Amino acid sequence: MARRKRAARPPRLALGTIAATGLILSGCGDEPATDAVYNTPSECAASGVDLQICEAEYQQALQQHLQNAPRFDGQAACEAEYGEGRCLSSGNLPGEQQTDGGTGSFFLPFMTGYLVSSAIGNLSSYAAYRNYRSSPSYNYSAPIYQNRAGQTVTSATQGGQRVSRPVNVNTRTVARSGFGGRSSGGFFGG
Amino acid sequence: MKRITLEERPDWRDKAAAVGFGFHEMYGEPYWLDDAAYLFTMAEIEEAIEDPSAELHRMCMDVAADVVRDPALMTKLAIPEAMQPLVVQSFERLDRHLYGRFDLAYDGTGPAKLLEYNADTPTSLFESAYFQYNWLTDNIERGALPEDSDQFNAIQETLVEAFRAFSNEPIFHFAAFTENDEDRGTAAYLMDCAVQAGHRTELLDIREIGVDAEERFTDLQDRTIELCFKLYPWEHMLLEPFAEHLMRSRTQFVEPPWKAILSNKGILPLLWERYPGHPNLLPAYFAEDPRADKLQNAVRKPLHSREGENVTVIEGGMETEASDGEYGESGFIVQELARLFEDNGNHAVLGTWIVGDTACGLGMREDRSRITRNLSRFVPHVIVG
Repeated sequence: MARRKRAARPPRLALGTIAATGLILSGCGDEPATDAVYNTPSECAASGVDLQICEAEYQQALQQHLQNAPRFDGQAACEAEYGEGRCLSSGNLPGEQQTDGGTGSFFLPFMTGYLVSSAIGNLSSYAAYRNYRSSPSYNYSAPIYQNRAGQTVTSATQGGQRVSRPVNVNTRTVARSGFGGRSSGGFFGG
Repeated sequence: MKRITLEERPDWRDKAAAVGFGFHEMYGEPYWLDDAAYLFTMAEIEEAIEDPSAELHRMCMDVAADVVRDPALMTKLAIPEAMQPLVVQSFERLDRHLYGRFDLAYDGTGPAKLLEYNADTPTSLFESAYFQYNWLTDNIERGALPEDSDQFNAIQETLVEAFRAFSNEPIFHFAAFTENDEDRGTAAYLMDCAVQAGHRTELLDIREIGVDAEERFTDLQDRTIELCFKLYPWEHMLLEPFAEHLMRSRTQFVEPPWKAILSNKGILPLLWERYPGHPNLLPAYFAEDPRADKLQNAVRKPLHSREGENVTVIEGGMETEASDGEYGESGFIVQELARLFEDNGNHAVLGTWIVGDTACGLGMREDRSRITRNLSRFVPHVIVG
């Protein structure tokens, strides 16, 4: 066949069906996200997680943040991206958090919170946490900060560049049913 | 191009049930036809359908670029003034879009003519992308169609590729009117494609979307919605109570707000004005334009209408056919009447799929009436020779 207008491989369904039985469809190995965002270790502990775990994870997130957050040579450049008063200099960090001693200081966005996975939030004791942390399934709590638009983001590496990506955070809903009111006909496709 | 009949696959209903394709019957009538097909040549598909579809999409994007620079045009398209900055910004940011479907009139002779662009909430996707493909391979396998039969259908592959371009960091929420089988099925199918592209997905009803004190949209677990596919028209959303939060919410919606321009029938007169005489366009004018009255054989359509509602056919200056409905409050356009492919009282409309910016597939629908409505039937197609 010289030309072919159809895809070489037949379409498949990852879930086998479009009759969505559950409301959550996740890729293989993905847990439905029930992760929680806390601004501080004490807020984390107040939600019922062991305080020691909350503190250890906060430090983990902070270390990750220092390693992975976008870096800027000057405060102005950083603030242009993340907003006024939202950046700090690595030189101002307490010694134990310095990851980059001697190579000169840089600016990075403030970490405003961290995303604690449900796997960690459900651990019953610090001892269980220590075990979990040495297991291959351990994932550190992701550092959270805000971009200029007020969007909650975390750091990721993309093509060798440090970039910010939005994440879903927990909040409190104050109203619903503000869309869909014109749906009495019940059909919108066309 | 011709319409052929063949024996239905004996087990197609079981196959439909197995994949959750429950809406192959709608309103008590068959919707999917397994025992008929539209037959095209490769030349017809490539030269008369695929290439013009790709070109029409580029032309639509050019018109959209004109519209966002002209508040008067946006008002003409009934985009509420307060929402115009949202539409403009989403276009200027190049907010990524996912898919759309052109409805074309083509009868195998002359150029295909654009009827309209379902650029915001198109359905008939699963049957085009998935079920139709399996219909073809099953019929080749059982010898009902020649070994080298083909189909214009890389829709799913292109969809999965398009989903890869969206960040997979946030949950990809899918909002639809979930009580409707077809809408829920379409959303579920797109979620499946998103999962194949590495996304975590979650379905919620459009009415379940919430908002927090910071005007961020939220899901039922009180999490912020960062990225949201919605199978619900922008022209409705822009008029509803939560529209006031759209500017501050920062939620990335798919389709993006600028699709409100392309899905509007007002794009048809704007295309004709920018590309007068283009072979794939029909003369079209806003209803209040005096030139509209000069079209002796024409179709009058509301700016916003789905499922062929509130459409009037005018022949020899007289109304000859009309459909009722709930649309029309925001204005009408008049478009020259196109000749549809007709066989034994079946009128066919071609639906070409644009995913990202690629024309990647075809789905055929036919109706007893020239106005393709929600009782139309989906008929698979095959390319031979």
